[in-house]
Amino acid sequence: MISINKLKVLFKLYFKGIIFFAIIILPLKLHAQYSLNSTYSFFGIGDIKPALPIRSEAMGGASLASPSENYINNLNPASLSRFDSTSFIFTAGIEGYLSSFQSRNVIKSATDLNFNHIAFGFPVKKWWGAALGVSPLSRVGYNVTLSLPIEGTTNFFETKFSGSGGVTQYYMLNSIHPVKQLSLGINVSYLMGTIEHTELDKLSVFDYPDVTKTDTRYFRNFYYLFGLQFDQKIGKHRLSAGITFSPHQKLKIRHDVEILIPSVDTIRSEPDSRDNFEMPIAIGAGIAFNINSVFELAFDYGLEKWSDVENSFRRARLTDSYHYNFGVEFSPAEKLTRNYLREMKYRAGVYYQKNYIEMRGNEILDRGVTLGAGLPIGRGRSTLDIAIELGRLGTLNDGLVQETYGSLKLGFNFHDYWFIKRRFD
Amino acid sequence: MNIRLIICSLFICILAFSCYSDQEVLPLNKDIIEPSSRLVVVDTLSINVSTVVMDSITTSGKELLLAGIYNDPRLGKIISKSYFQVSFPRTTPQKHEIFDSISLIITYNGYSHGDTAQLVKLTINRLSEKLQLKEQTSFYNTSHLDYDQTSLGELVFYPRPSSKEKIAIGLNKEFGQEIFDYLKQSQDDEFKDDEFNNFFKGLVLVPDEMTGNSIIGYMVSDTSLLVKIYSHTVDNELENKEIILPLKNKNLQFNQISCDWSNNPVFANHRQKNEIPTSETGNVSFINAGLGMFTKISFPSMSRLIEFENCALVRAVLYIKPALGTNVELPDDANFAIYQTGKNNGLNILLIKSDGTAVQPVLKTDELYNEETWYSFDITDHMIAEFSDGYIDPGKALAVNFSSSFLANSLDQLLVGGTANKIIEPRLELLFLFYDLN
Repeated sequence: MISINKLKVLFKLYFKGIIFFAIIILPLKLHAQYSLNSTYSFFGIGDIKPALPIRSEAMGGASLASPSENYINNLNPASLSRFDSTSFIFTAGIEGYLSSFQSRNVIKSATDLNFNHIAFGFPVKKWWGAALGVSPLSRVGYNVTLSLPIEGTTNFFETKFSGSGGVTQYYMLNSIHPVKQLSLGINVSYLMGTIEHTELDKLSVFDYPDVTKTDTRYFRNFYYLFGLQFDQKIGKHRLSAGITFSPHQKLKIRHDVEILIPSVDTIRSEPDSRDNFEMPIAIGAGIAFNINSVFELAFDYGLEKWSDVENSFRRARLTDSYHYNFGVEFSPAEKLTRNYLREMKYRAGVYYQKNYIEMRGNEILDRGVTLGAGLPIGRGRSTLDIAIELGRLGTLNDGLVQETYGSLKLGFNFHDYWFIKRRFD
Repeated sequence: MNIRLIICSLFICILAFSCYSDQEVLPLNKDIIEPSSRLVVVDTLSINVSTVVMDSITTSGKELLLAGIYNDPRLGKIISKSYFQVSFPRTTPQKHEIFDSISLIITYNGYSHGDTAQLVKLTINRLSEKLQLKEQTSFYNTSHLDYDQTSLGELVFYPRPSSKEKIAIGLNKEFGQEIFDYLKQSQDDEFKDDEFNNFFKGLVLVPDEMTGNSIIGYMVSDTSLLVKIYSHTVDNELENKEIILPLKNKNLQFNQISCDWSNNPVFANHRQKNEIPTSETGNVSFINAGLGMFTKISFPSMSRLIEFENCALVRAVLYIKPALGTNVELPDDANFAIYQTGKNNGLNILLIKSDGTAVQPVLKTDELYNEETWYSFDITDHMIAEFSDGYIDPGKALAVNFSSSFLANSLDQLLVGGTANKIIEPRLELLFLFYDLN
């Protein structure tokens, strides 16, 4: 007979194995596998939508001023020093998208189920918190056709454009709080990703096999983001503010193009042609106000100065992007109760974001509402977070594409204590 | 307690397998995405069209008798005579056998060119020159052998080529008796066959130039082309006998096909190396299977295309169009072949596809307006090879002809439109892909 204790030891081993697997193996597999479906992700490094903790996702993305208490707020590295110095967090998230695309009166749909983030947070010292994680920074996924003229004739041929991939962020957050109210943090991340654009010229109308152009871009470089958080208790309430800043940085691109003309030739670009993709100065600012540990209101603003960078895209103009995020969290129970519904946290939010590309003079806006909940698990501080998002991206003006999407995001925060052994179990 | 563990495990599992994506294709109605490549059709290359009359084409061994005259409205009077030889029979007449009559048996093979509703007159003449190859390896459309001007027999008839019937033509009795007597005497001669052909050199079918307007094809085989001698014996009772003189050598049978060029004198003193531009032949170029005429198409400004950069030739198609209203019946597209030719106007290289078979055109007929009636040759492989070395030899050209197995097998003809009429001029359509490697 195996004793209960032995079983527990086995479970612990099993759990450690899972974490090991998750941290080491998964990111390798997940690399370059995303395909958020959006026509606008054709440009640059795709749709830039950093994965947030599911709590923030449920609050319209407002997160800059929030501390990492029982989740990892990767948006502001300064949040890590608020970490309980005796505990650690393992967190993972997935997301599923359901979207519909409309161009004039044609509507098509897409589904996507994907990884959102994996992170591991731990205290180094009482005044120093750190986290390691991986999450997508940008994603490319589109699948469109276009009818193009054959010059010199009155005929048209169809070209199918499709893209996949994205840039993944492997990050290390470090945060200290030199004084009680103030935290400083830095996010040193390595951005890495492959984006593949395929252009398929359908020449079957001419009894000819299709011509395929495959454009593969490998992005990589270190990326730095600095953060600051301020936190002040006002009676039973608490006021927090957060600021992030990242300087103008460059992603290195290795670029391979291959054009396959069946039975004729394969044309390749110079091997290893290199280029840069510039990431602009980005600033973010947020405030959060916690009322009596029952309500938390959070508001974020962010600006990215894309108009200052040199990337050039066909058919699109770079424009400064900005975003407003507003969220609220309601926690009915201040302490542990027997009523599970009261133990849950309820969240809601809205967001309004302007994309970094502008097409035919049209701003590309992304706006939506979010809802969510935090479900406590077991007796500790572990939670299962759920966020639902309903949004709309783009416009129907000028033959552009409007996307209406809904998403469901699930995140699991495993919270445990480093040093304290439980006496009663 | 372990609910955390279970959920966590579940999450990891989902994560590990959660790269699922499915997207329908959205047709865009504006080019908000810019393609990096362009497809451009170039079909405005200047073209020269001309006719080449080959010095000669092989007509022996084609297993076909072509005999008749045809007044071609464009070319002139076409005359086809057919030469052949019969061999020593297996059985020879016995001592007391008595000659009755002699016939030539010919059999329609189904082919006809011209107006079969008109009465046709053929004469059968005896060769006075032995049917044999001297220095050459075959007989040509231009070959000629001497024959007796007095005919051995004649046939005046309304041809019914599609019936595929046998026709027996009675020959001169004196001639029959002469053959019969010869056979009777030469029973034991070892070299009888060769000797026989010195004596009876062969026959030629000669059309009467004043009668008829059609050229008819007859089969060449042991049972369809032969000379028959009828005889009898009267030992006890009357017994009718037949002696069959079969066709001797299929490879020595040939057709002499000539044209008087009266309607197009420019061909009268033709040489193969001198092509005749369509401007001199009424904006029409000829492809004629019996007279060995083919159409030469050249592209004087082709070398200009070499200067294109960042592009690849995707497809090349040559369209040739029948001159409007001149071709009631268009030859089958499988009968044609296309060659590379040069300054010498030879059929230098047969164009083949990647699978090694010859390039054949596809015939498209536009019954309503005739404007889109054409033969299209997919010459992509050839053109890609031409472009690949970065140099276009201005002397190189294309030749459209009947393929070798159809050449000299008929009088089939295609009139190809020349460049003076935009509707019927040949067109080379080149599809280029211009690409951008950035």
